[in-house]
Amino acid sequence: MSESPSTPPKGANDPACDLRLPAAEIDASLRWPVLFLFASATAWLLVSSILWLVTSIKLGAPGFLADCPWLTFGRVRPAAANAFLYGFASQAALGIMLWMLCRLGGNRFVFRVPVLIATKFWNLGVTIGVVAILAGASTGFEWLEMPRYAAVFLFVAYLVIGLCALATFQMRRHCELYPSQWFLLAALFWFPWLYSAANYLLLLDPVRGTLQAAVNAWFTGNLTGLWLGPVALAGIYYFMPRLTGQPLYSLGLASFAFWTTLFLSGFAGFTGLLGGPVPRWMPAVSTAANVCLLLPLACNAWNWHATNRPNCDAWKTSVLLRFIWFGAVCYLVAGVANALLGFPNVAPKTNLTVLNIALKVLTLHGFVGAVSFGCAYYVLPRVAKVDWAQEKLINVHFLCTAIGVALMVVGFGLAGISQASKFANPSVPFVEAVKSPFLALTTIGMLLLLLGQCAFAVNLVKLLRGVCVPVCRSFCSTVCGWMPGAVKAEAKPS
Amino acid sequence: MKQPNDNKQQPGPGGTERIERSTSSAAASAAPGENGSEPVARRLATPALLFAVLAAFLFWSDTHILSQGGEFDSRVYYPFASSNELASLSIREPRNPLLDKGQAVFSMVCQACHQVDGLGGVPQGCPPLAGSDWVLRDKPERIIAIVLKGLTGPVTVSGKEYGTGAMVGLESFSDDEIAGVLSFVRNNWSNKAPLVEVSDVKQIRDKLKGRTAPMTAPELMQMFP
Amino acid sequence: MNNGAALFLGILLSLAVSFWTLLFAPQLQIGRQDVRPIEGGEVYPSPRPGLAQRGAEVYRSLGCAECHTRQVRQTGAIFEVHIAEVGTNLNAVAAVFGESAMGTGDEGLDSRHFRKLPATVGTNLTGNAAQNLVAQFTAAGAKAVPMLIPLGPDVQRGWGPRLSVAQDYLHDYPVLLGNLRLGPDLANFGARQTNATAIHTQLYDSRRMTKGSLMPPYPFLYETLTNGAASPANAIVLPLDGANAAQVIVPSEDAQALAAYLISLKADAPLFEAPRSRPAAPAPPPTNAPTATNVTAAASSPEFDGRARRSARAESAGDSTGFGLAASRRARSDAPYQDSLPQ
Repeated sequence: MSESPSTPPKGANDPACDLRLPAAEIDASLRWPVLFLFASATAWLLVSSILWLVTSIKLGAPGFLADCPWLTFGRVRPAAANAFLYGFASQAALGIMLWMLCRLGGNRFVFRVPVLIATKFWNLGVTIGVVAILAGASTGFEWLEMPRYAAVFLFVAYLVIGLCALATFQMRRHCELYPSQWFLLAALFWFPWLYSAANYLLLLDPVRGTLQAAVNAWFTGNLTGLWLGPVALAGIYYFMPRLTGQPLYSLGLASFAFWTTLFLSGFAGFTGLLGGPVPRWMPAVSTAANVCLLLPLACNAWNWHATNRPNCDAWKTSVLLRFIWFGAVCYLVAGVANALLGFPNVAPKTNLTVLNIALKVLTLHGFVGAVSFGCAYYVLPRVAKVDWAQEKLINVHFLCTAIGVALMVVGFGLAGISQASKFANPSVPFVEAVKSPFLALTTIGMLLLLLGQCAFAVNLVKLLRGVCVPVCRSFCSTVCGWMPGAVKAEAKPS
Repeated sequence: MKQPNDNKQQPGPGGTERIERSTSSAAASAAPGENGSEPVARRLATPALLFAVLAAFLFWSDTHILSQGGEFDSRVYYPFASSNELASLSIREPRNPLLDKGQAVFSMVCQACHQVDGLGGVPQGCPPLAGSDWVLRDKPERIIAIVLKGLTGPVTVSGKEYGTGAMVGLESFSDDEIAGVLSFVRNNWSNKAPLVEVSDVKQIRDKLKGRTAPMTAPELMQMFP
Repeated sequence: MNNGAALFLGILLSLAVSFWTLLFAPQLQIGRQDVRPIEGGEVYPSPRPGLAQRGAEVYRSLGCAECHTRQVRQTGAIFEVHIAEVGTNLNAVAAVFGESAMGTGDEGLDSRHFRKLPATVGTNLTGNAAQNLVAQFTAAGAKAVPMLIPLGPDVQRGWGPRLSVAQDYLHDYPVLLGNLRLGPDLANFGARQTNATAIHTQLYDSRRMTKGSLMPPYPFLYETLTNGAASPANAIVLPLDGANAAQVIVPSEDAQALAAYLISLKADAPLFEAPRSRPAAPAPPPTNAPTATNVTAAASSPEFDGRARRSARAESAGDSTGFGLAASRRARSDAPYQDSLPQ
């Protein structure tokens, strides 16, 4: 179908539809929930990066910190993963979701207190879970290692936050839906289903035999494909037009990409079991789904590229746009890699090597992480009404993220390819087949990532101080105003 | 059409002015005004070509799953392609039907005391059959007699003494059933010994005709040296 | 698409489709499997004895599955035909051999092929071709046996005689297949290593057993005895290892449980979905106590020997599975396995 000349969108001119409240008012209503979510997310990010750094060092020097049972490799690795997924990525996703739903819907956020309490419970759950893993109570299932008693906290907290988000969506004042809202709604409904089904089928009423591995694979595939992924896609769809000042190129393309992603992602995720002890039709379905997912990938790429084309130099001046673009590129590369590595003549040789770590780093740190940071850098100063203290650190963060992710992906990727070829050759002793000089690159990459995340943390702490100090001062002066000697307190410059 | 880049100052409610004035990194929005500044999408329809491409992808997926899916059979694991291939890989050495019959009798009658692993049950006094020197003797006469008439009293098997209980004979079973169960016992677990012929059983049965009492170990050792 | 309700229904449909096809349908297929009897009268898989079950908990708690997989993979299977006994008419057998793919047609050469038994008279055959060949040799009076040889690097490294299937994991909770191989596969560990002393040495400090091993040491599972302290019965004397002096360690309960669990790991019964040639001597039934010094009969199965000899030659340069293969290699040479640790 030929493109019609771009018509102004209905919403902009139709008074009945465009009742959005002023952005500053919306941001003010979201201040504390979003700040709390991102602050705790950042704390967990640092924890997970430190733990990941420890595992990275242990890969090269197995005796490092080996005396302590709490820090043995088999416990630190899942602890790092869970801290990242549920501590950082999920909380950042919730923060982005709440902010974006409010902004796009044009209504204020009225559920501050429930969300704040729920976030506290979420953090409590993650803390209990991570500590339990380090203490040895891991369940053994990938990305679901947190025991039942910790998972309950997360689930209940999510229900509260999710219901608040849904109610906020229902209360929207701007009736036209933007693609980001579709993706956010998909993520909103998929996560509780995913988490509860996986926990039920694996922990509460366990299924038998390798069906557990199948449920686990379904869960891990969909956690990135239908929870973290759509939120990050929503972020890219929001910020690409926003930061370049252009309208999104095509609603139809976005719609097509949304529906195909939604239906196809649910089938991807089993390629890790190709060659393994599950009936082979299940990985075959996943291989096909991964290849079909190339189509929405292409649509997204086309849409984003065309959106940027009129203002194609914007990324040079805007570091936020660079974060968003980096995330988008990682998403595209990961999608293509998943499709190629899913074929039956490749997957059985590679899916037990560190190549699948490379893919996970690309998706989690490269795609989800970079987009989350891009969004955070935009959202936080607006909800806090405090500017970022050090602009240079934002650039440092971006460079560290980009180079760190690249090093880790290249390191694990090349090591994985070397492992795959050596595993396939039985005359190579196994201890030699596992090793690769490229693994050292990944430690350097992880260090860089950690450095960038520290830069973000420094900026965030200063921003929080900028928010909290006046609040504390006004609180103190209010309290002191009731006490004798109030005159002295008020005389002090605030 | 290139939009002017981002450093415009945007008048707005207090607080945002400072943000918008700061460097381009944070304030990269150029849309006029705050209310209309949320991103908008051009209302282009989905190109019909995409649906055709999707159909092509789905068709390929279909052929892929059909060729690689093992016919959705739960028994087909990579690298096998179908249950037919599995069946062709399951060829067995032709097994003597006598042994199959004997296994059936064993699991029905003998397993209770002599156990499925052939190691016997020491509390009840059942001697083991796996590795038993009585079972593995060249000439099967003694064990044919035991199975026909039963055994009572102590017996020493492979160096150990058993026999506080008594074994009931299987005289009512047919000759080939008894030959089968003895052949099975002599060739199962770690045992390897010649099969017991139906004629041997008939011969011993005729020899012991009329006897109602169970055998005893010393008697057997004397009758069938 | 501005209708929130339509969006919700679409999302719900995607949830339902994914759940029903990839969770519910497999549940109907493999979720209701139960133990089944196999030849020999045993049920498969047999339940783990108590100490080994505790060891499974230790395995999960320490996160061993982060580096070790428990799934053997296979890339295919071919048939070979082996002659176990030539029978009375060597000439007829040699004639049949001469006409087969491997034969030369030269009577003298073909007869000499049967000097050392069992002899391989056909390789890389399909099931039907193997059966035909067996029939021909049987008609000539020989005892011909078709052997299914699994292919793949996992099998050639000695990690297992056949691929792992769902039936193997029925007694496991959680099923720890593993998704990364930084250490050798453990699905059949109990078939190649039953020496608890060697296992404890590996756990305490794996570099004493395998140079350059990436496996972290687990000293917290053991109590180190100082010189002169009374050593209990299960104390282990670690060998001198260059930099490390000789030490005496006592395994804790967790270590003993873990060793028992590792020794219990076997997934080698022939199944319809995972065919393998029937071993000549069925493995002895599992006992409760972790065995310290005995060699399992499965290590001496004939169909393994052919592969083992080939792979033993290939691995003469180094120890490909860590210490496990060296131990089973020694076992296959039929010498009783000594407590001495492989170098």
